[in-house]
Amino acid sequence: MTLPIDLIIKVKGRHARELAKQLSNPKHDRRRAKTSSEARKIFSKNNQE
Amino acid sequence: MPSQYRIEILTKDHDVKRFDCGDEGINRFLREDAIKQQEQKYLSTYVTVNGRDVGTYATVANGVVELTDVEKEDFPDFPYPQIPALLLARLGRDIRYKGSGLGEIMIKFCIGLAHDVSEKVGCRVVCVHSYVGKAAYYESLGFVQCGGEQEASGKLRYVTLYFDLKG
Repeated sequence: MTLPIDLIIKVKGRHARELAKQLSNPKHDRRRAKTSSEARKIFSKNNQE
Repeated sequence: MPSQYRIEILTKDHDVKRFDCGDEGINRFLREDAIKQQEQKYLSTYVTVNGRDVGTYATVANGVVELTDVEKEDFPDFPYPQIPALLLARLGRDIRYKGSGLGEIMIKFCIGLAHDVSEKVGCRVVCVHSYVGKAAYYESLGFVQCGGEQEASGKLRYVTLYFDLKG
């Protein structure tokens, strides 16, 4: 099974409400913050080289 | 990043014929579709390279997450029920590079790219469809499940996850 490529991702029901809640009032998440920090460094370093 | 690797946008000069991640659909996309769809400006593909040899690849596109079954009061401060997104549409790591860390580096590069995009044209989340067995790995990076698709038997075919670029 190959994963689909969808340019529109539909999120429904409970997942949609939870996502809306997160977007309206983002909760800090330690793992996400760490990943974002490392991601910015990798992207920036690669562009400098 | 291992110093001998660089991340580059895919070109015809990269040697993709040897690429084998063990999933023929993912291999075939890189060999046959990635450059063509990039030239059509639908999708862009980035590769980690050592010389011309491709170790991992990721294909990304602009997209949208459409929320259904929500009321305006569910997200009063958010202007639209469509969320601008960077879609991580394809991700593959050559089996020769297993354990190299390059797969994780490529995911983080795409998140870094999304942060960069978000400062220029607006982008709130990174979205990915994942094989069920790989979902926990994405969650360990801070992705959150927001759906998926089931087979007729009820078994999950794949899981959809998002990574919020804010907060």
